[in-house]
Amino acid sequence: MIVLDPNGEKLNLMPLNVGPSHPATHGCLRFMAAMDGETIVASVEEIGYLHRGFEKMVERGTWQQVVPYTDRLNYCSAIMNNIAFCRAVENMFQVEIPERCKVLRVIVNELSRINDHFVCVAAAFQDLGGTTPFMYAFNPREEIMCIWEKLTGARLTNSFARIGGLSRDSYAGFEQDVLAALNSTEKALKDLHACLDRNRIFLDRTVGIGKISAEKAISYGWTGPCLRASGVASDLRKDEPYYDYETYDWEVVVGTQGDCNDRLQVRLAEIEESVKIVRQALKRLTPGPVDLVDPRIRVPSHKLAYQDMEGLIGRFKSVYEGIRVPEGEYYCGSECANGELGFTIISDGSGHPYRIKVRRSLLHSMNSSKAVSWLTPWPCFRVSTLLLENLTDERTYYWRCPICLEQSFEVRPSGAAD
Amino acid sequence: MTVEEILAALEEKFGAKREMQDKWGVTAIVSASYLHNVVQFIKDETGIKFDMLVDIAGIDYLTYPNHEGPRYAVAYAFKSMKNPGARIRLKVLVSEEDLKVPTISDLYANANWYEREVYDLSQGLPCPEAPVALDERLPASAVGTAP
Repeated sequence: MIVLDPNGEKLNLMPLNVGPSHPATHGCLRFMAAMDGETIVASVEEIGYLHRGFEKMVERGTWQQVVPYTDRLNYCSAIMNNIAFCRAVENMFQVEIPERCKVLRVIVNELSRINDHFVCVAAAFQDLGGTTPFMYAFNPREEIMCIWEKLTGARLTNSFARIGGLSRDSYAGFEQDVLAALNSTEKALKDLHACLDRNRIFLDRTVGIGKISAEKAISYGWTGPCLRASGVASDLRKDEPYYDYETYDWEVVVGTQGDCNDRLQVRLAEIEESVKIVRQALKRLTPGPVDLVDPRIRVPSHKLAYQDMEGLIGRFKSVYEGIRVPEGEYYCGSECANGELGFTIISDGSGHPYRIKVRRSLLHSMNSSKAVSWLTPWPCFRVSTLLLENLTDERTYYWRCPICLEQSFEVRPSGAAD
Repeated sequence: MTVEEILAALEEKFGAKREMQDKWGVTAIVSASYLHNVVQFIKDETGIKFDMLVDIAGIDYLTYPNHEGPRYAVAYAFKSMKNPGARIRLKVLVSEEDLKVPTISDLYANANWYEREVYDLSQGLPCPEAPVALDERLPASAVGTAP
């Protein structure tokens, strides 16, 4: 394929179709790439192979019924997403959740972050040709998955948070399990660093690759570890603290180069910080209630419902009619594993959300791939935006290749008319 | 300069109004014709520079109880990197007669996709004039707006 570059020079490129890959593999998307040897010179991306209609579906149920849908926004850190949603609604009620609930949410939040980062780092290495890190990272991850299993009954799309509390308290032996998982996490981190930090092949494929400047990253709306890798110390847990994150002793990790290597190393370093937070949180975990006692927000327990008339009415009303969130419009973002997960919530004061718009953290990184992938090898994309579940609610968008003139390189959807 | 002061400046300069429905943050209702200027103002000219576009949401008030005013709205959420924690939302009301909202994709690199998402997905709101031809937003087989 002969094309002209922006300076008018002729290039002989090879068009390569990548994907669409299966949803169970990371990244259900399709790329049409123009290759010069092993280098991508231009790419046209197509997203939205799994349009699930999250935003429309949640309008049909009650507020509490939104929670399980939020798991699916990122299945590697599902609980973190339902906590983010519950926090937004609780802010609209302007209520404080009980102390034990806060601490438990911090613990599961950070364990989710560890899980998510491990999957991202491990799968990125897999794409780069190394399978060993996968084994190192998945040992502690399995321990955390076992904790999820005991805590929620599910391993993957698990719901734990509820508006005004948690689905249940932690189980006996939870603290020991978490401590054991943290120890394995630290061991895995050592192994991973030993495996990667001075690995020539790995460094060649990540250092200086897919660089993005802080200004560009901000303009593209990058948040989370990808933005921090570009040197911006932005973390909602510090900037707009919630759940007493500001009182824990931990640091915001930032990179210096904004390349693939930084994005991976920031994630590994964030795992260390999360371990620090969880260790401190475990010490703060004291017995107490995990739910708000307010039938207008949190469904009364079975025990109350069977013994108390008010409890029975509260349970009936909140299950059948749904809790009534104050009327109004609100945007609330929380720091999730891959950046800011935000909900624009429009409530008409009824038992159902009127409209919920999700701000997906990874859509932004995806959007910028045309800026990042310019003259960079393939793996950079995987590293910057590995988990694309957040994208799957999007419809397909088409880009015309920035480098190709005269539509010489045009992507058309399969089955579309010529 | 606080966010409240910026809101006051928007009210004075651009005739913006505070959105009373947002009881938890600061939202200004601006007219579509001023949107681009307002966004440029909050991005570059205020003390707090809202340099990140966080989200754009399309809203259809068709079945909203007792709703008065235009049927549609497009809500923009911004945050500042230089002043962590500072946020502002802008809202443009869009009537069915005039379904046009100017694009801000020249100011924020991520605006384009969001504007197209508003067009494609937000309950039939055919809206911001993202700088792409209409036929590029959806597959060639798609006719009309999104269901």
